[in-house]
This record gives sequence, structure tokens and C-alpha cells, in this order.
Amino acid sequence: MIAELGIFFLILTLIISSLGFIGPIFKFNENSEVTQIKISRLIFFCTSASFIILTYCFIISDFSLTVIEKNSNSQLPTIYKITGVWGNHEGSILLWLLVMTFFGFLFSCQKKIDTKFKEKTLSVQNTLIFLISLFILFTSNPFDRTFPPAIDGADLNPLLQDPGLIIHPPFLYLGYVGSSIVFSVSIAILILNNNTKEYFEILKPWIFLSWTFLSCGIGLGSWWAYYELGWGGFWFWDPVENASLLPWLTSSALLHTIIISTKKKSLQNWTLFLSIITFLLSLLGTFLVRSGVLVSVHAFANDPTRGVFILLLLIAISAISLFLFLKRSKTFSSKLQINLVSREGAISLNNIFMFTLSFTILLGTVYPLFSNVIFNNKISVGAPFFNSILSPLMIPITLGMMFGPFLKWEKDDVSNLLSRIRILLLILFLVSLTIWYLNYKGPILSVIFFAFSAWIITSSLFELSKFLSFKPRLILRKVPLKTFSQVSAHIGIALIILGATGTSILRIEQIQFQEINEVITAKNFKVKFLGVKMVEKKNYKSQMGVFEIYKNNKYIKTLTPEKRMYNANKQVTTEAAIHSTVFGDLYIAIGDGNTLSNNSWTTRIWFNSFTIWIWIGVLFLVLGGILSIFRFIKANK
Amino acid sequence: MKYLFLLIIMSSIGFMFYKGLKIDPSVVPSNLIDKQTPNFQLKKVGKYPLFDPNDLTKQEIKIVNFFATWCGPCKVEHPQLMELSNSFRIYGIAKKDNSKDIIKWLRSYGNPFDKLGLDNDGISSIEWGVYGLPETFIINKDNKILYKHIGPIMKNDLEKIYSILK
Repeated sequence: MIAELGIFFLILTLIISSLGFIGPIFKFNENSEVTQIKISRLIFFCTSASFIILTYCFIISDFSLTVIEKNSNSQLPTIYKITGVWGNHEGSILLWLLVMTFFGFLFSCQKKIDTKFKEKTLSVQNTLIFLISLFILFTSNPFDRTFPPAIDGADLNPLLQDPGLIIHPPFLYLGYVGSSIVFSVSIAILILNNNTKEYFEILKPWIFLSWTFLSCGIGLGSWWAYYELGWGGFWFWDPVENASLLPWLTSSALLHTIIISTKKKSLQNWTLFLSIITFLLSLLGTFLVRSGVLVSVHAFANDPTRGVFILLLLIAISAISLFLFLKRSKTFSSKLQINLVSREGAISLNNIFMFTLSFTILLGTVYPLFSNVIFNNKISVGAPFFNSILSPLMIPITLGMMFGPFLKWEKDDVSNLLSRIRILLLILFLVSLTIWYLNYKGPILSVIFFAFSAWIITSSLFELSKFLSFKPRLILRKVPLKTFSQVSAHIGIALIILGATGTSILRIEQIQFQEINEVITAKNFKVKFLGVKMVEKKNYKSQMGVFEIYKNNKYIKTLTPEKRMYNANKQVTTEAAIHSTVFGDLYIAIGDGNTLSNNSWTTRIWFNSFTIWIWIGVLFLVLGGILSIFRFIKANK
Repeated sequence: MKYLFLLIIMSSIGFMFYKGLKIDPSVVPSNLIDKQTPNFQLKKVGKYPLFDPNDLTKQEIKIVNFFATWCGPCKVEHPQLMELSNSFRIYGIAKKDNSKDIIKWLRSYGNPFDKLGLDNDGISSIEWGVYGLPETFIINKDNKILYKHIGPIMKNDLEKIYSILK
């Protein structure tokens, strides 16, 4: 019965949100009580109610609902019953809708925006909500009943029974869907056809907000893959990973252009274009994940009929928004010349490279599909392609991050710049020498990327040093939040480069049958295998390998990687065991036992250099975003 | 003009995605069937004769087997390889492995391989389109790939393998 209430609220959302476009067409919410602001708040309430009801059904294990029967189990710990709500297609799209209405609600609460503009933006947002709720009700209703009701459920995909999954999808969605409000604001700007700076100011915090959530979501996803999948890596260039990276790249580009658009009134049409593209890429990501057109590790929720619907949605939204953009972009193009050697110039250049990068990644991601359709030729585009396009593009992006912040606005010249940062150049030279001295035996590529990382960190810290004054005594003047957030984000990127380089180029991999008491050496660790013990938990049985780790013949700790077999669906998952240090992770995964002798097992032992810095880098990145948002909140009080 | 451009781009992308929906991306046929064997370069394992591309030019039907000592299913397959080796030449390629383990393995379970080699960087395996272990290729007199078997050759696969080898 309660499930029907859930549908009721969903239908209410659909009907009320339809006022988002009916309102402006029939012009009945001008001078009337029915404003888009009220509509936004009402549908947020309805969607929340619907979501809470679904969650409740999961908690009480109502197996008469198809979704719950397929994705939950009575033996499941309660926390995973709750996360199971978004561990499947229907529930996760409902979460998507919830987040979308949440952003509409948040926007409706923002002060200091003129009502006309707010109404326009919200009417776009509500129209988007209408389309998504249409999609839910017609192709993926989470409240569908199954008959006869099942006695027990098929269990949640064991890979998803992990703390990482509790937070990864909601954050990712906050990022993805956060770009919907950026999209709505941009469309509203286009509709009003007004290039005042104030409107672009409104856009700003939402870009930062969705970018921060997206960074967080991607970081968490990568972290989850690293310790849950047991493949020893953190990024696999999987289509779904790429799908989340694309909007991140375009919104990172957007973060930079919006500064110029609000400050100088130039690059406005580029900003609008990026805003639109970011949301379209989020939608495209959803399409790629949900329709199963590409092979992916995330293939736990796909269905081609839904694919058609999302495709229609994607095409309709892209066509309308891009049409509007083309029609109105003249208003927003500026005749202002941008000097190459200036802050704007550096940002524009970096934008070009970031956009090229995202376009190339997009091409690599969907190319297998195109090649299949056009040439009837199955190919796969893998890590080598992406790594080889990423590496050269990192050079200009790195240089931009290093020197961009030292350039003056409007006009600067190179000799001036060089004399201003001559101390920095000297330090950079010394840093490079140190890096080379420490790594010259290693692969040349790793030396280059370590140098990039160190350069960015050095120049970012140098930027902060401007706020230090030594006379009469050492004091740190107040650093503006703006600078702090930029420095933090740039250092974050540098640390990610460090970790990624160490983890991919310098990794040491050992796969073997390891006998009990046999010792394997990885880097400067000795790994002694003590055997395998069986452990039984509520919903799974586990073969737990016991390994003692020694460094310089001193015992450090015992690691216990597991191979779990889940009771309900007999699926096997790998739980890697990791010993993290600042210099790298010792990563152990255990495989099958030897069928012919009882005392040896397949073990995979990796030494991943500097992996921990990836996660620290993500934290810095997110910190940068949070500081920006904080700055905005402070300014708006 | 620009609108027409937009229309063309949108509809062609839409069309391709729509077509793509009807294709199952997880079915991967081997591109190598009926093609010449790819090139490869291996490292020597102990004193065993090294397998190199010239061996495949011999005017006879032969088998190439990808394996590794750390791979459980390879061990399951081993007795069947031993049996096949009585009537055909089998060449072995060990992926991401080390000589010491391979020698130990061949000594304890028998050596079905005429010649073998070690593919430590995995590049030869990529050339051959190997994505799991074990994988076995049957190659005809003219050095063309006739058949690819994915996964261990079990007792009940032997009949099929023999029929192809004839």
C-alpha cells in the first residue's frame, strides 16, 4: 500500500513540474500566485516523499516490489539495504530526480537574484525535472510490483556491498545533476538575451558547487575501485569512468572562463557553451551507462528500451539548447581582444587544451560504438590511447597552472613576467635537479611527470609566499580565500599527477603460485604467506589469506586479503589488502588455490608508488572547491 | 546554415547511438580467424628451445597455447595438452611468468610443448588478442589461424579440437 503512495508522489511531481513549461507558454504565472519558486519547492517535497517511501520499502524488505526483489536480501545488513536503494537503475534515477529537485529548491532559496531571472531559471529546471520524471514513470518505475511476491530477494550486487558505495553515487549525482542548474541558469540567460555581468555572477557558485561534488564523486569512485576490484589500479579508462571525467573536464574549464566572464565581460558565449555542454555530457554519460551500448564494468543496470528514451531526451535537450545558443550567441560575443600573454590569455589557452582533451576522450570512448555501426568492425579503445593523448596535453596544462597565476590581467609581457618570477625560476631549476637526481634510474616519463608535479607545487607555494613579509619580522598577511582555493586546487592536481605517475609507470607487479611460508619480495617489502583461513559472515563466506609483511627483516603488520563468496547469488568478489605508506602501497590480492597441491595459492602482489597522494590530491581539490563556495556564501551574507 | 549544420550533426549522432543500442557490445569475435598469425617476440625459458615466428611457417597443422604457472585453469588443462602433444606440435607462450616457475611446472606435470617462450611484458599476448588465460589457437599449414579456444580445453572439448585439427 505504501508503495502506491510512492507512485502517487511521483505522479504529483510529474504533473506539478509540467507547469515548468506550461506556465511560460500560457503565461499564467505572471502576476499570479502559482510561481515557479513555489512549484520547485513543492516538487522537491513530493520527490523526497517518494524517495523516503522507497527507502522504507527497502528497509522493511518488501519483496513484492520488483526492484527490491532483484537488488536486496533479508540477510543484508541494514546499511546496505539503504544503499541498495541506489544500487540499481530505478532507484538511482529516482535519486537523480531527488538531487535535481533539491538543486531547484536550493536555487529558489538563493537571495539577491531578481525574481524574473529566478522564475526563468526555475522554469527550465522544472521542465528538465518533468522530462526525468516522465522517464521514471514510463520506463523505470521503482514501485513496480512483482507477482507472486518473492520470499527472499536476489541480493545486492556484492561489489556494491561496500562503504565506498554508500557515498560514491550520491556525490557523483550531486555533481552530475548539479550541472543541471548551471544549464538552467545559462538557458535563462540565453532566453532573456541579456549579457549583464550580474547574471554570470549567479552562475558562478553553482559551477563551483557541482564541480566540487563531481571531484568528490569521481575521487570516491576511483578509491572504491582501487581497493574493491582488486586489479591494483585506480583508473581503468572504462567508458563509465570517462563519462564522469568528461563533465569534470568541461566544468574545470568553465571554472576558469567564468572568472573572465564576470570580471571582463568577455568569453561569455564560451562560458554559456561550456555550461550547456557540461550538462549534455552528464546526460550522455547517463545514456552510455544505462543503455549498455558500451562494454563497461558498471554494467549492472542497463536495458536498451530505456536507452531509446534517454537518447530521445538527450537529442531533444541538446537540439533545443544548442539551437538557442546558436541563435543568441551574438549577444554574448565580445569584440574585446584577448592578449596571449595575460591572465585571460593563459586561461583561454588552457581552456582550449582542456576542451581538446575532453573531446578526444569523448571520441575514444564512443569510437568503438561508431566503428561498430559504420564499419561493422569491433574494436576497443583502451588505456594506451588515452594515456598517449593525456601525456602531451599535460605539458601546456601544467605550464598554465605554473605561470598563469603570475600573469597580470589584460596585458603583460614575457620579460616582465620572467623578472618578476626569477626567484621562482631558480627554485624550479633546483627542484628539477633534485627530482632528476632522485629518479634518473627510473623511466624517463616518470621523471618528467614527477617534475611537473613538483613544479606546480613549487609555483603554487611561491604564490602564497607573496603574502609572507619578513620585515620587520616574519608575518603571514591574510591570504584572500580566492588565492587559497586556487592554490589548493592546483596542488591537488599536482599530487594527483604524482600519485598517478607512481601508480601507473612505477608499479611493480608479481603474480605467482605462492606456497605456504614462501616469501616474495616486492620493492623493499618481504611478504610471507601463512596460509588461508575460512571465515563465515552473515551474508558471505570468505577465504582469507594471511600475509606477514616485513621491511628490513622487521615485522610490520599482517595483511588479510579476501576472496568472498556471497550466499544469495554465489558471486565471488575480491577484497584486496593494502598497506599504505607515503612512498607507496603494498597491495595484495588472493586468487584460487592450486588444484593439484593443497599448500599453494595464486597471489598477486603489487607495489604501487605514491598511490596515497592521489587521494590526498583529491582532498586538496575538494578543499579548493569548498573554499570557493565558502567565499561565495560569505559574500552573499 | 549553422542550424542546418547542427541538425545534421545531431541527427547523425542520434542515428549512430540508436543503431548502437541494437548491437551487443560484449560479443567479441576473434578478428584473427582466417588471418596470418601475428608477429611476436619471446624470451627463452631455461634450456628449452625458444618458440619464434618461423616455427609457424612449417607445412603442418599446429597448436599455440597461452598459459601461465599462476593460472589455476591452465593446470586443469594440462593433461589435455599432454594428450594432444602425442599427435601434434604444441607451442607454448607463458604470459607474465618467470622461468624458474615454468621449469618447475614442466618438470612436475610434463612438457607438452615442442618449443616455448616467455611473454613477460604481455605485448605478444596483446598482438594475439589474448584477454584471458588459457587461450589456445589452432594454426593451419599456411600459417593461418583456424580456430581460437578461450578458457581451458577440457576432456569434452577434445573431440571438437580433434575434428578441427583434421
